[in-house]
Amino acid sequence: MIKKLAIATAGATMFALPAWSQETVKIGFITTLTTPAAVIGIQQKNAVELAVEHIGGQMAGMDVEILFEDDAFNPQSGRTASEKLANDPDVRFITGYIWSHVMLASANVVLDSGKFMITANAGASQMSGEACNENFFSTSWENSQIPRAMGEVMNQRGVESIYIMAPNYAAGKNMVEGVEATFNGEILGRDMTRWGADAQLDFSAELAKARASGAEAVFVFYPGRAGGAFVKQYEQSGLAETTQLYTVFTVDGISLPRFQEAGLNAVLGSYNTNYWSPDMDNAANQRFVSDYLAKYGEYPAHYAAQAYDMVMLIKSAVEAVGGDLDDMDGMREALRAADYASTRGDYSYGSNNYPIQNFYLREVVEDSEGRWTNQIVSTVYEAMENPYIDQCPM
Amino acid sequence: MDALFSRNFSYRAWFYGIALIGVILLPIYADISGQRNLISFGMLIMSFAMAAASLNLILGFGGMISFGHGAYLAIGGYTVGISVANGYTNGFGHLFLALVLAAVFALITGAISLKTKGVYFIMITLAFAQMMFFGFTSLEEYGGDDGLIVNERSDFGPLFDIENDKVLYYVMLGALLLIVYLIYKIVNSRFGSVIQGSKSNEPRMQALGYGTYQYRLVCYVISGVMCALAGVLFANYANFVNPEDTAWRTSGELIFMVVLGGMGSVLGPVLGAVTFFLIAEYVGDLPVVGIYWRIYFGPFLILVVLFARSGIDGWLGRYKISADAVRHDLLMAPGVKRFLATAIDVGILTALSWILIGVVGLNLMELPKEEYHADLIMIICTYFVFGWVFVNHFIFPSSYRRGSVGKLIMGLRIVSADGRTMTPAQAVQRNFGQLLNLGILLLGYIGCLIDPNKLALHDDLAGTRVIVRGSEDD
Amino acid sequence: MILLITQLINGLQLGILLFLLAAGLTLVFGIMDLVNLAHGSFYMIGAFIGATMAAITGSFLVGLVLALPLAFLVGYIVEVTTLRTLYDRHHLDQVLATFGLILFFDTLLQLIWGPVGVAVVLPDYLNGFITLPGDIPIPTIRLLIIAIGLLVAAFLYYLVVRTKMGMLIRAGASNRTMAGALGVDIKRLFTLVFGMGAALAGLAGLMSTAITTEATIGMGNDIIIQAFVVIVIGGIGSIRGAFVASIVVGLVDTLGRSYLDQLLKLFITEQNAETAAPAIAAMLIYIMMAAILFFSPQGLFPPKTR
Repeated sequence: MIKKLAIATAGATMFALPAWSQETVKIGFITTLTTPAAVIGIQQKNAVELAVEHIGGQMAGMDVEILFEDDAFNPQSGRTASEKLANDPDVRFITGYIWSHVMLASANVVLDSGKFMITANAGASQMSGEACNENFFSTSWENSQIPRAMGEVMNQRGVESIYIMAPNYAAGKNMVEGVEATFNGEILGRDMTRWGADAQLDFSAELAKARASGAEAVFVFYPGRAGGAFVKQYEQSGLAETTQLYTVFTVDGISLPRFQEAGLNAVLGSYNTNYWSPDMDNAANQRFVSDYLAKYGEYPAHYAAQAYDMVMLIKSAVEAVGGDLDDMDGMREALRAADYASTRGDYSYGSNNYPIQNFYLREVVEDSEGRWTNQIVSTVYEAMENPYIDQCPM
Repeated sequence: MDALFSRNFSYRAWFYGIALIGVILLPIYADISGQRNLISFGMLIMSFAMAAASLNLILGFGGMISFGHGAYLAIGGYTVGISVANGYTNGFGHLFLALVLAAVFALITGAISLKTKGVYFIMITLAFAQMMFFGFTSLEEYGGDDGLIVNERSDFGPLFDIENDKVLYYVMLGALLLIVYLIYKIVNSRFGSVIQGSKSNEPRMQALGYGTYQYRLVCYVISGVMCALAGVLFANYANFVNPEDTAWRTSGELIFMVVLGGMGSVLGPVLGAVTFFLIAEYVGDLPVVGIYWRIYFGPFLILVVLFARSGIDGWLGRYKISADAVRHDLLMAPGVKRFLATAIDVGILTALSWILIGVVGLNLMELPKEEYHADLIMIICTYFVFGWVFVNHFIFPSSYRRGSVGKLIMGLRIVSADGRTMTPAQAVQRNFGQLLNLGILLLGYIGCLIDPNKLALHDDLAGTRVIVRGSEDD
Repeated sequence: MILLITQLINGLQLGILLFLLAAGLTLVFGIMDLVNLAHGSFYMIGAFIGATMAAITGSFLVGLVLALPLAFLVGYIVEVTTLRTLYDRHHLDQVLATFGLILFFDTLLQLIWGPVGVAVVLPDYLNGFITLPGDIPIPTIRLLIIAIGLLVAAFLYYLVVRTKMGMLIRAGASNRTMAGALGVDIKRLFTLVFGMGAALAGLAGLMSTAITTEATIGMGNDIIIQAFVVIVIGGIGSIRGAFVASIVVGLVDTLGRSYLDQLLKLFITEQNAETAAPAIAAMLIYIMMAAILFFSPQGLFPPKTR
């Protein structure tokens, strides 16, 4: 549907045909569509398009138009794109944001314009704490929550010593702080590797250090392509035979097909934590996952689920005010109520507009058709409060 | 009146004059039309225009190819960011600090870098910028890799309250004009002639008793300081600074702006910056193919380097053909035929783009394929269109065919005023003139009707004549 | 001690990979006086083509063998169509035009292969590790890279020092006009050398994906700057210089990442050391380059004539 719309717009611009003029709900969606990190952005874009299809392209009887903008994995570009959307009076919601640094760079332009900003992934801790804002919402989590859950899992499983590796950027640091906050055992070493446009992908030196440290387990956070690189080298180094691997945001619906393609058997049976899983048993999730699988041929990752939820959340707010897009207060109240069928099941919002939700331990398994996917093993935290909520003045 | 535009008439002066008025009026227009974005966009362009102009001082005039100029942008920006983060908001203090820090950094790195030459100089400036990059990314309390949000703008007192976007816009415009003026003064001073002399012939300048090393070092420092000023204003505009500014891509883009606009011209880099951002913004906004804008930009860059070295500023000047060589016996084409010829070219282009993009491209995209392969087909279709424009308006006219297909059909030829085939440079300039003509609502075509030589604006710029076939043969 | 030896081998392997990339770059630079930023694109193209071939044939080694001629072919085409016109141009023009090529190739490959990249599947015997004497485990693939790299280095040495083509290359490097005057078909020589450089870069690209799992868009841009650092440190045009500098850069980078934090802890607080170490480790090779150029403005092995 949206693709058709996009083509229609393409035609319209190229041949100067008049565009439709009926009132529409315009939602800006900033994500990564170029650079290798686009694998995440494309899943999110797919999910948003699927969501728009599921709601028949309508919210409260008005057409929905999603304006996709590329941040090129770069805070400056993301900020420019946000600014453009913020200056467009017809855009009411500016959403998306995979990366913490892009979101932080964009936050003040978007929020100063008085529009709603909804992150569908980035979980920089500042936004849930000191920098929280009444118009800022999240359909995801705060960065440190997921590694906190993982630290707890390792406690439960009796892990006594770990070695930590993560990329050297905001989310990476949040992840490390998170696991260190809950893990009770000994941390034998910590490596923060180069990140950004020129990210480090060869971890030989770090893996050698991890081995020499004698740690019982390795905890890593490597999103995107660095994840594949890490797992492969972890396997090649022989570390897989002596240590257990615990990951966050490294093994998910985006990386698993590629891990499988590359034959990285080390991830089968490995553990990770998340707030959602494709096998969650609720109607909204079943519909989302099966339709996504049918349409795009692969399992959605949590990035996709969050983007899908974002559309549904906005729909609930727009319909709560009967399509009166100028009723900011009404929409804010409705957003806060989270009264929609989320793919994660019911959840509520805390005073900092971050979800209060469960976190689960997941294991990588093979599904009935031989595809690798995550499956819930147990619940680690129930209705977990956001750790930075006290710092939020709201 | 011999010609509509007398020989003394300077397009360049008029162009810059009108452009300046436009830039001054832009915020007012933005207010009226409700396009607030224009002001931000203008400030973004002006920041980089300042940086590019300062780079041009060492690159275009001094021949020092610095691949690390972005570092100064970041020094200026981080000075503001870090000061504000620590509660120090005095704008004059920011300026002073930034300029001093930039001068010190330029003095140290310049002293080392200028000992090397050629590509070693390129690499060592790059190395220093990379060090700054990793340095800024490690400033964890100031955002590290994420960059630093600047919550408050510099305080320049009530007279220049730059919290207001429009005031900041005019402050930036003033700073840009100041930088351009200073560079103009420097270039035309004795100091400037030593710098330019040491670019083309260093041993000669040394033989004349000039310590070229010291001169170049001073020039390098001045350039860095100017760029830091741009950085201070940029951070104020963006409310955000980012280590990426020091990365080599930013520096590479700055170099491109300088070359595109015209090296060795004081105002060229400003035009280069404007053009660069217009391309990135508007091509990037095209539906479907927009996010792949770099696939057009890359070849465009190569074409600019190969055929258009004088840069936009150069194209604004008349193509020089010596007065003796100009042939007065050429039979000028009648206006009707010219109009028909243009109509044929436009018709072919429209038909081609309609068939390729509209019919083939859009229909193929509907097929349930992997999305990017549909995009690839679309890109290839647009490539055919652009390729046709390139062949018809550049290759054909500057080859023995001497004209676009439309002109050939109508029995017309485009030649240089001296009766020869156009050079590639003339062809570039002629096409640029046509773009300019579009920009001023085709006013340039008036010349076709009333000028005795039937010179439209682009003919006059490029020194070309549209003639009846055969009249150029001796 | 075991850790140190492991890290030395890791550094050697990184250096060897850099050498494969730098060898072609320094030859092209030395002989044709061409600053080719797009050399990294061949690294990427070789990886994509090789990975695709490996996927089609089901064998990594076949992919490796096929990547060489195919990358050569791409290099050949690019040289003949575009870069040939740039030899007589100023370095600035070359930097910009080849920057344009990078933008073009990055986007083109994304259009052809999609943004996801292509995964490389290693056969089991390459996916494990070998235990060296003294209980030092080293991944097999890294040993393979070292072996191939040393073979290529030996081959290049033989080619340049012992063969007629090598003589011509050396003649071309020291004096292009003279070599041309002696009746050498400079154009063909250039194309050949350029293609060879592209093939080596492609080989390096494919082998790096054996470590990092997949060929990705822009992978060449990350490493090309390091390759430039190598050839500048080594002295432009010198294969020997490139070899030495590659190993030095590889070792400095790896050892920096391994030991810098411990070293810094001797001088500053633990907290500060852990923050500063990654940044300084990343800076090390640039600091080294600046220092070397300061004392020897033409690198370690400056070209003799020019």
